[in-house]
Amino acid sequence: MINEQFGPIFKRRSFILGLSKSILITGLLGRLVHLQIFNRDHYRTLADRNRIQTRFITAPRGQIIDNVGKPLAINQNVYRCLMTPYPQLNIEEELGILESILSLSPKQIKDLRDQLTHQSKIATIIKENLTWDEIAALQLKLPDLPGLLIERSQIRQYVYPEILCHTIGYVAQASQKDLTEHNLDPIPGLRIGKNGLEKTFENSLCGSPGFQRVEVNAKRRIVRIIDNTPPKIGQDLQTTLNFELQEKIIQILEPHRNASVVVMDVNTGAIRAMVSKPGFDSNLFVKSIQKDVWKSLLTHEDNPLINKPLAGQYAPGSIFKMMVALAGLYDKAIDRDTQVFCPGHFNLGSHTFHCWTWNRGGHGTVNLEKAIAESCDVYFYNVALKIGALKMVEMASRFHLGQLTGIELDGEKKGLIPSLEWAKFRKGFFKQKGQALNISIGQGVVLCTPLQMVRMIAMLVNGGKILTPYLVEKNSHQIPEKFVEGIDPSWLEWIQQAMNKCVNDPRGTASRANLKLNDWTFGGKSGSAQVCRITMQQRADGTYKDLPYHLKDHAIFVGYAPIEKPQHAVSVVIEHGKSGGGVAGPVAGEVLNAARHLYV
Amino acid sequence: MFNFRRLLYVNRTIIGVILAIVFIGLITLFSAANGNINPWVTKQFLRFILGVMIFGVIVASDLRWWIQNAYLIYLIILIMLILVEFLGFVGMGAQRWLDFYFFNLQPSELMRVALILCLARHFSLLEVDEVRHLKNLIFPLLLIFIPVLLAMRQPDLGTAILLLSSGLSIFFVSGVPWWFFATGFCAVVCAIPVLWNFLYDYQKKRILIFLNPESDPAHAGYHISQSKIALGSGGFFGKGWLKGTQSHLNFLPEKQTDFIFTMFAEEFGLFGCIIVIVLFSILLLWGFTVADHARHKFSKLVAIGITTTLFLYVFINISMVMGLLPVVGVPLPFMSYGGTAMITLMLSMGVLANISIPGTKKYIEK
Repeated sequence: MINEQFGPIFKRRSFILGLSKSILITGLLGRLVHLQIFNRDHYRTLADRNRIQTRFITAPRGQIIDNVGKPLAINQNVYRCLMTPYPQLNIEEELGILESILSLSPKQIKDLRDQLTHQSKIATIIKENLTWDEIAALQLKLPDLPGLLIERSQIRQYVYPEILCHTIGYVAQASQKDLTEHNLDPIPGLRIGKNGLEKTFENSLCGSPGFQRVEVNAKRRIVRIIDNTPPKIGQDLQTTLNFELQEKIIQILEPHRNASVVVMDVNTGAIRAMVSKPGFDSNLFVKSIQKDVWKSLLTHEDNPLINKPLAGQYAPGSIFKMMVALAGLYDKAIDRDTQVFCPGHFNLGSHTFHCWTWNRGGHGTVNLEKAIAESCDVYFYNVALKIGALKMVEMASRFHLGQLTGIELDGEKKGLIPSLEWAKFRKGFFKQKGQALNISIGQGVVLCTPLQMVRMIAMLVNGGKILTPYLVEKNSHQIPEKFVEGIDPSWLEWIQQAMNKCVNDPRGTASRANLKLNDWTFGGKSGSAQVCRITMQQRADGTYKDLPYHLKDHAIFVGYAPIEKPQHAVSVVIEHGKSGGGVAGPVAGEVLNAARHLYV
Repeated sequence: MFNFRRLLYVNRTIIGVILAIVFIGLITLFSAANGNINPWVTKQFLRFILGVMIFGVIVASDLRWWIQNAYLIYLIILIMLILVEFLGFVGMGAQRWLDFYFFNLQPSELMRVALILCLARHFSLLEVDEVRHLKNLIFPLLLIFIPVLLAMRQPDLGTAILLLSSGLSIFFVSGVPWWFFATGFCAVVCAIPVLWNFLYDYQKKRILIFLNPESDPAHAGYHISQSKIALGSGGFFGKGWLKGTQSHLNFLPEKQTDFIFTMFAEEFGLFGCIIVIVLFSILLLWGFTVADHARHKFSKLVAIGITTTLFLYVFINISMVMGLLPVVGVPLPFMSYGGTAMITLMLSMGVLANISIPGTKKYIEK
């Protein structure tokens, strides 16, 4: 039985106990109110941050197709795996598993570790182009790889990487700098155009990325898609290039090491083919290119990364004589029948300028047509002396030599045609007769790019219509036709006839280039650009013929076809090919022959 | 010795409260299994049925039997506890489970009831003056410390704390003088550096994390920070049944056992939490009333012991999931998935109900 002493003590003590329990329970309620009412929004945000992930979906890039619709740059479906970093991610453990499945190199592991540690938001691409075996192995291990996502994606693929590398260019992974500069969303594996048409038309090709908000679980597996904004596919891009012609040119150039060939429509300025040799595998850049491969391309002596038709600057050589002839006609210093005697050399003061026929005793009596067809230097030396250097370079400028053509590609060089502006810092340049003589045969300071050369020849055979070369048809606005000022159409006809003879007359400098077809022939003008000066000694003992490769002349040829109603113009530069008529000419002939079957 | 007519006198409200809490527990388990009665609801329900049977048997039983056999029960469970050291397998990182056919028995849970019975018996035989002598306190202290040390060895910090606290609550209401508790408190404070070395690394880590949860939210503090997010994001009305994101997407760990309150709170919000806490408070209040009305010292002490244990379960569990206490692994009564806890609780409630029935007196007073 409860005794009287115990009763009150028990009552008092159990009351204390009960009271403290009530206080503690009230405390719990207070804490609950604090968490669930006052901090509700804070924790809701945290909960959403836990479960909701925003994923970018790369937009498929627009295709690049040739003028008849043949795909040149397409998208390839690939499977890739990405890792979305999150606070509980055990980077080392997962990298260990991935290393064994995907056979990653220690360097890749190191890079991935850095990226995963430092990028807290963007998913990191572990590997692209997974094989089926790798996908199967990853799927099997997926429970041990929280945060890993295998998804289908598209990457750029160049169907003919070596053939079109320079004009189409390539895409490569956007660097941090690209992202900030172009204000791009940090999409994993985003590639942007780094070169060529891919770069120029980046904005229309790239489309716009899609977004997906997904709910993920604690293992960062996607549970459901909350909302989805699909990507907008980039616009396809049709170039004026013709793949078949381009491929044919590569075949024709087979024997040559360094060359550039440009084919242009003489009526519109559309570029039908543009080849720079050697090329490179542009697909290498799409998957990130290895440093040593990149370095070897960069330091290669044949400069495969340079687009020679735009960035190669060559002395135009004898093809410049057409400009001199027009300048002479314009200045009325000569006419069609003006005759000059060529003994094979030309003396200016104590210096002797040689005609290329010096060892055969010269061309004898030459008129304008013969001077062009047989490329008589002495004839043009005479014209040069009469009109001076300034008149010649002015005419060249009217044909836009020495000026950027404005083609839709980066890296174009201007070449060099001296102007009064330029001569300001070279006192008396235009008064030096020697300079004038050199310029008259396209040597000395003048430099042109193959693209400028082809435009020049196109403008000579289309009646003087000014052309702007282009690779992508612009249907938005028609550019009004403009013609070179002050040129009599008959002069152009004379020059055209002379170029016809150059190829089709047995004495023409490019007679070896004649394909001897019954129904078709082409015209043109050869040239060779001296790389180094031939000394008197070399001339005397004939050793100038056996110069080492890099000192040999560049072989140049500009041509057009057909003779009757020109459609295509071509410029060919074979670096160190020596003979314009004998080496570049045949190439031009074959190219033009191939081009005439083009569907345009 | 069994009189099943006694069942008719059990307080109906209390039966309703227990049923309500169990029901809430079952629907939460249903949600934890993503809207499935497997793997948890069915098993838990069967255990509850078993618990109800045990409850009935206890209520029908004669309390004198319990008084007489208190030490024997204690001894049997102590032996089981020692067996765990050798036979128990490692589960959930702790050797708490003894494998039985129907469920895994956790002897340390049963020990809680046994300890209360023993202490109550010991103190019920002491006069108030005798309680003031230290020599009379040594035996009950031993009764407490043997299972506490065994539980710590397992390692099961939660049970050790529960055993110690509920034991001391009986000391307290028995009239053990204040100086005893003051001295004990000082001794514990002084012993902390020594005890620290006896703790397992993960236990140390949990305590450190508790003291500064933001120190490592990604790894060790993960449980607690995710639990707080789930709780807080529930708001007043919750995200709705079966709609808790934190729990369904598995950000919330152990959602069917230790963190079931969080799971519930995320889906039912503060509103639901208040209901649950009120239900538990009714049970506790009833416990005190039972203790107050009991006619015998033993009954009073047992009732206080059981009520305090229930309170400690609820308080430690809820504080733990809210980040107010370190994560020590204490289940929420009637709601957390787990066999032994359910059985032990129903057994304790049976004892309370038994005490509550008028006429118990005549069994006790010979």
